[in-house]
Amino acid sequence: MAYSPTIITDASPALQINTAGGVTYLELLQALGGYYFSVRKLHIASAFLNQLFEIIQYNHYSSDGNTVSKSLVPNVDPYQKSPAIIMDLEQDGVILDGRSSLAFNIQPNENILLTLETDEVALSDLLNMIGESNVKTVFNATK
Amino acid sequence: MRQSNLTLVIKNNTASVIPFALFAKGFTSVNARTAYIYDLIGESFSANKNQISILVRKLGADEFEFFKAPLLDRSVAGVAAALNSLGLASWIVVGTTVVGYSDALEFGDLDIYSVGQSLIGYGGDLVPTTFVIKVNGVVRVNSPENQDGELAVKPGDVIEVSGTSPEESILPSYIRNGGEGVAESVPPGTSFIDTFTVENGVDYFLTFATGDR
Repeated sequence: MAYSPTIITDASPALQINTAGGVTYLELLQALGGYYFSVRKLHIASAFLNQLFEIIQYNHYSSDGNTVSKSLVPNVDPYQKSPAIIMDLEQDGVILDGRSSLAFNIQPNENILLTLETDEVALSDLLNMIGESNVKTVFNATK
Repeated sequence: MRQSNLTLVIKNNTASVIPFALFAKGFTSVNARTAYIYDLIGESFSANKNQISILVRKLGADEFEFFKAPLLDRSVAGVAAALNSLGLASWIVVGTTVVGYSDALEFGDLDIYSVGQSLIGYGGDLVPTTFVIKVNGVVRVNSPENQDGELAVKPGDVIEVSGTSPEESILPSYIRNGGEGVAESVPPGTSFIDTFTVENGVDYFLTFATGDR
């Protein structure tokens, strides 16, 4: 059986992600794993109200390695006119560690401003907890 | 612990809905089983009711590209053909035992890696524009309700897959596992065609290919 589907591609990038503060999205991605972010709140401001109705799937792994998906449902007031919302995720345990993701649909021609209020932990923080001369301490401990 | 704010501006430049996984690190970790984008239901692209689309990001790039191919046949073979036609690499999706049919199809897991990362253990060099696409799990026609009483693929059906392994391939370009644990590979730059008979109760999976876009 032979198929010859037609290929359609876009001339311009389909999706662009810009970040504030000069750190690119790619750099942010690469930092995950060394840096961990526990998300407390998620601010979403979009061009159109429809975007706010998109459910966000928090995909991550359980301790036994299985994929786990949790739906984060924006509590949108159907009568609200401003296409913006703040989601409180404190109870949802959303942690960005490089093995998790936030999956959602992006509406056509949409422009979303996404701000995540997070608590940040870096691997180096653990080293600093050992003491001031931490490198020496670790070095001696591994002798 | 410090408090910090991450601010992102995400822009969809298309007239279509894009399913997207934010903070997914599929390209930078061999073991990051990131569900990348699969949207096999597309309804708005170029008047094609059924289509396969896939969102990819080149290694080292911030921007995403969206590739789309219409699904001409709602069968596993049709999916394989449409995905192959995307030209991301010479890769193939081989299907499973069966199921009925509806508008939606479902991948078990779809991972996309950069070859540079996935060559760990193979001693290969980085090839920045090369993708490895790997399907872990089954490609399944997803239909709880059988809409018209016909099965898209059923036990006993013969599935045919074909393609050309890219010249630049370092890894074997085509490996299929399923049934009795068949594994095959094809040297770079050769065309191949393969057929197998769908058996009841057997999942066919693990397709693996490399190639330049």
